[in-house]
Order: sequence, then structure tokens, then C-alpha cells
Amino acid sequence: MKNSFSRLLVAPLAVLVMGSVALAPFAEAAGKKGGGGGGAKPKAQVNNSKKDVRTNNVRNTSVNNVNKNVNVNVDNNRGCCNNGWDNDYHPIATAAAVTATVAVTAAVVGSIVSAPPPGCYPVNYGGIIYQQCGSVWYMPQGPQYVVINPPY
Amino acid sequence: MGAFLQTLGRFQVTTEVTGERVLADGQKLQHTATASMDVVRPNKLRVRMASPRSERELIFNGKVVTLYTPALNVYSTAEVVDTIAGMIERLQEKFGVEVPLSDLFLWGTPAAPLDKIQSAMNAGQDFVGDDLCDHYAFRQGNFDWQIWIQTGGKPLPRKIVITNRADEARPQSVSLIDWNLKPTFKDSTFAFMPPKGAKRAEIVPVKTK
Repeated sequence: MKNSFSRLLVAPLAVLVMGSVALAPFAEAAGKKGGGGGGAKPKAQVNNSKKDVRTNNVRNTSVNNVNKNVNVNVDNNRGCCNNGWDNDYHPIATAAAVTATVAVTAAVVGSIVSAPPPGCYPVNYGGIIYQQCGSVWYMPQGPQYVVINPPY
Repeated sequence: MGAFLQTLGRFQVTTEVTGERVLADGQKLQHTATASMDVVRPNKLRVRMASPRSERELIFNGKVVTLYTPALNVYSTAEVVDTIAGMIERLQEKFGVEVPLSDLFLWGTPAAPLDKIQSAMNAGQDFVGDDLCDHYAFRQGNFDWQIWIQTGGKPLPRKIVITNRADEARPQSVSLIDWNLKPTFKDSTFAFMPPKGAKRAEIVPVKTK
């Protein structure tokens, strides 16, 4: 395990094999920032370009905490799905990517660019870092950015 | 277990969660993520969270909580003068940000009331890794949950399974937990120094209904 986090884990499940592959781009990103494992070979980037759009149509998710989720109303303010620390899946962004119809000023929701235009600034909403460029919003998707409907 | 957890002053926890998403037609997709946490009670916490979708860090020094996204070199801060449990609650309520295994900071306190549990059963003993554990199963509202607590003098939670019965597909999460009760981290781990070129992002409170 070259990922600096996961090497701490004892991992009896075969699931971790999937996990370690999937974590690869972040291990690489951490390496660039000097926080990685020191000379660790960069791993492959996750590439979701062939991912079926139906995977974005999420109606519900599992939860990870007993007390929060049992004692507090499970429905949160951000729709069905964004209710776990591991779950940075964003219903707004992905729903926008699925429909991909309406043009917001110049940028079409759902379109993908390699970098947001100059003059954008980062905004943290619900733990996710977006790039806001006037009325146009971008969400990072791997090494690229997808135009989304405003998250709030 | 709850009382024992509250006695731990300085520890490190690593976890791997396997969760499920239910698609519109009821088909389920499984996903995984990992996290490691450095903890000093009552009010210092550093969390590293990684999934295929993002890597994030949370650093809390008792006064300010910082959320950092290494891949973007972007960070956000919010003032929260509170305990770890209080900070977690505020992050959740105000900013919609969840912290892994937040139950660990609630069990053994009034924030995890036992009278909410509608049914409890001892499910016998089981192994998590090589460690013998006592297995308990509970029903509570729309949730069934199970916990594996290490048998013996250190009753640590080692595995938690939560099943959401509100959806007929019953999405479930499985968290495996490893403990280091003699951690080697230094207190400086709870002080966030923005890396070179890091940008600050405003953190916007989530909209309420």
C-alpha cells in the first residue's frame, strides 16, 4: 500500500483491493504536494468517462453513523444522498450532468473543461470545493471540471 | 464500551467504510472510502479522508476547524470553540460536513441515549481480524445496526454495520475500525499551516429548509 492513509489500515476485506486502486490519483496528488510516500510510483488516474449516466440517478444511500442518523431526521437539506462522510457524490452536479441541456450564460451545464476560466474563485459548500465564476459554477471531476447548476 | 471510549485521551483510529447507493430502479452500487483520525480529547482532531472521488483533511485545534483539499490545494476555516463532539455537530448542522465515525465521540455521553434503542440482542461472539469480539444487534427507528466490540479489558468497537430500512433496497454500510492507543503523532499535527500557494475558499453554510 503506497497510499499514506491506507497503509495504516489492517484490511481483511478483499474490498480494499478495489479501494487501493481507486485511491490512486489522490496518492499521486499527495505525492506532488510532498505529503506522499516519498518516491512512490504514481498510480493510474481514475477515469469515469465510460461510466453509465444511470449511476448518477441515486435515490438513497447507506449511512455511517448511528447517533446522528437515528436521533436526527435523516433527510438533510441537500436532497437524498449527500449524507455521509465518504459520500461526496453531489446530486445537483450529477443531475445537471445527466440533463446537460440548459445553457447558463456561455457555459453549458454538464460540459467538461480542463480548467475553469480565469477569475473564478473556490467556494466550499457541504464540504465540496466548487469554482464559482460569476453565475457559472464548476465542480472538479478528477483532473477536469464539469459545469453544474449553482449548488445553492 | 461507551464509558471506556470516554477514558481514552490520545489515540489514533483508522477506518474503512463500504457503503451503498440505491439507484432509481432499486439496483445498488457499492463504494468504499478510508479515513484516519488523530485524536486528543477533549478538543483536538485531525482527520484524513480518501475516496475515489476526493481526498480531504480536517484539522481542529479546539478553536478553529480547517477543511483542506490537497488535490486542489484549497482550504476553508471556521471558528468553532468547542469539544470534538460539539465541533462535529456544528459542522454537520451548519455546513453539512460529516466526520467519520462521529459516534465514537458520542457513545458514553447523553448524546447517544440508550432509550432510543427499541430492541437489542446479543448475537454471540465473532472475530474481526484476529480479535475476538462480542456481537450485538439493535433496532432503532428506521435503522438496524450491529456492533462488534472487542472482548476483554479494552472494549473497543471494531466493526459497525448500519442498515437503512427506510428504503426497500436497504442500503447498508460496513465500517471496519482499527485502533492505536499509543500513537506517536505530535501536537503540531493539530496546527494547520497552509501549504505554499494554497487558496482559501469561503465556506458557505448549507441552506436550511
